[in-house]
Amino acid sequence: MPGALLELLRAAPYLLPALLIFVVFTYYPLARVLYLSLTDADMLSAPNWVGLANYRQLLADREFWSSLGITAVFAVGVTALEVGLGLALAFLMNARTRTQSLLRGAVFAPVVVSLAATAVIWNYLLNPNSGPVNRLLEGLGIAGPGWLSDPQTALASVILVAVWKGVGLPAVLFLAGLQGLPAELEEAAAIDGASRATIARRITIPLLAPTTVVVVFISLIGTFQSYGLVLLLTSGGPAGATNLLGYSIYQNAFVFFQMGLASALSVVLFALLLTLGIIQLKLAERRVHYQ
Amino acid sequence: MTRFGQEALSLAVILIFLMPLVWMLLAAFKPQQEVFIGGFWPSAWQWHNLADAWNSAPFGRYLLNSLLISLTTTAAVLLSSALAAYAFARMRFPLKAFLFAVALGTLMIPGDVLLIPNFITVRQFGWLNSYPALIVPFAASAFGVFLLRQAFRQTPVELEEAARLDGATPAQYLWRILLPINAPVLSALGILTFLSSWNALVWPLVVTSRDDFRTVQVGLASFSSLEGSNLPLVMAATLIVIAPVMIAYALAQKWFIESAAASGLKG
Repeated sequence: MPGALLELLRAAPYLLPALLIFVVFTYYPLARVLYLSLTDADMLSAPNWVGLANYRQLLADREFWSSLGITAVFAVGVTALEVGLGLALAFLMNARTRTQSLLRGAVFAPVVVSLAATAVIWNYLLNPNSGPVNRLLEGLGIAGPGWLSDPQTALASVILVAVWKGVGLPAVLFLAGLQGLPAELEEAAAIDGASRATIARRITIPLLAPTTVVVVFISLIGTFQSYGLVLLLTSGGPAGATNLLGYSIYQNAFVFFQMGLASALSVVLFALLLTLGIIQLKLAERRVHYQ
Repeated sequence: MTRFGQEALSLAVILIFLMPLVWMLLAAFKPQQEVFIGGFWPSAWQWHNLADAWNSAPFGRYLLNSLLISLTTTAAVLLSSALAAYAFARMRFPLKAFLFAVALGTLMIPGDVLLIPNFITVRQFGWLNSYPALIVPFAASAFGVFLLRQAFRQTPVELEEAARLDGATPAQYLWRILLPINAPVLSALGILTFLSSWNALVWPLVVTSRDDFRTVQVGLASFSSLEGSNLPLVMAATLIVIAPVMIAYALAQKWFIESAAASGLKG
């Protein structure tokens, strides 16, 4: 096999930079986090093997289950809003309005604003006493809620901020999907006398199915990673109301220095995301093509 | 929906999305006592807030760090992705399918799952509070490899054959012909990489504790928790931090949006 070996040697300089990074900073740490989850690592002393003790501790921990529930509500809430609003915004952005370019720019602008700036801005806007949002509501005769400071509304508030920041991406992806659709079908339906609402519901939205699958999963996976907002806005509070799984990992690892337990949480997060990823692949294989 | 309805709805949506940024901008120039009780506009524009914020934390250093880190990361990602993509698109070698799966497999493993072990690795390398910690782990991108491989495969093979006949080596062909031809894809990948590096928060927060290596995002987060009570100053700092990217966005909005649309291929 000297020929094959020579081919591999010739390709190696091209492949090595990327593959080396993937191995050192993705595959090796994946193995390492699995190992750490079976130890009592705490960053101070050498880790001791504890078997499944961290996982047992998690299963018995009410905070863990509540964190899973909060993560699910957050993920489903943000994804549903981003997909629904994203689609509606895409239709509006595709319409020939005078403000078309400004509209596209405005909807996408928060995507460009950093997570840290988003948190700082909304912390001010949602100030329960006399932040701009509550003063605006007051002007309309509505008593504003406590937003981030009230356990009842904190999670909904973080969802609101996450959607403001994130919906621009689904909107733009749907817009690209809309622009890629053939015009003939819609024109034919219009000639047959179908109303615009019927065309949207019966033709355009089904044709967008492949885009929708992509958008749902980009949104869903993104929500698992947006705990940076929680880190700055609420620190998981008040009363644990916004304790997302991702934040819980950060807190256990870098505030409480319980690396072993935090690693077990990471493995749980990985298992969840891997399941989602596999479902997405299965859906993509079977995905509906009308064209 | 009527024409008029569409126009009105567009205006309302524009207002909803931009209002938070407008409020931030106005608060940045208000006197401190007016932030919560004053009118919509500042009674007197406090332009010095910008300078005060700039002087109360090393924002110059933060900006420089972020710029250096984001530019280096972007260059590294473009280079490593282009090299690997060329091999996967145009070269024959054993284990090709397996190695490609190794590269794409990283898309299934999100960075947050790897936060702890990567922190430990970087600490063992002695990289805490250093630029490599903020650059090297992000110097390759499976999405980049995938995107460029698609583009390279669509570039006509005849070009390469002609270049070879003229005596060009594969590396010369890649550098002189393949990359310039695919400049639009490269710039899309570049924008996305730069943005995600510039806006990164949790990793830079975890691996830096000293001002000399902090990025603007970490700097802003810590400034806001230290100076939280002086809101105009915090908003002025926010303005400083988002201004570079927002100005670039205002100038090249279409380019940003098209790059983001390219990320839909990821799914």
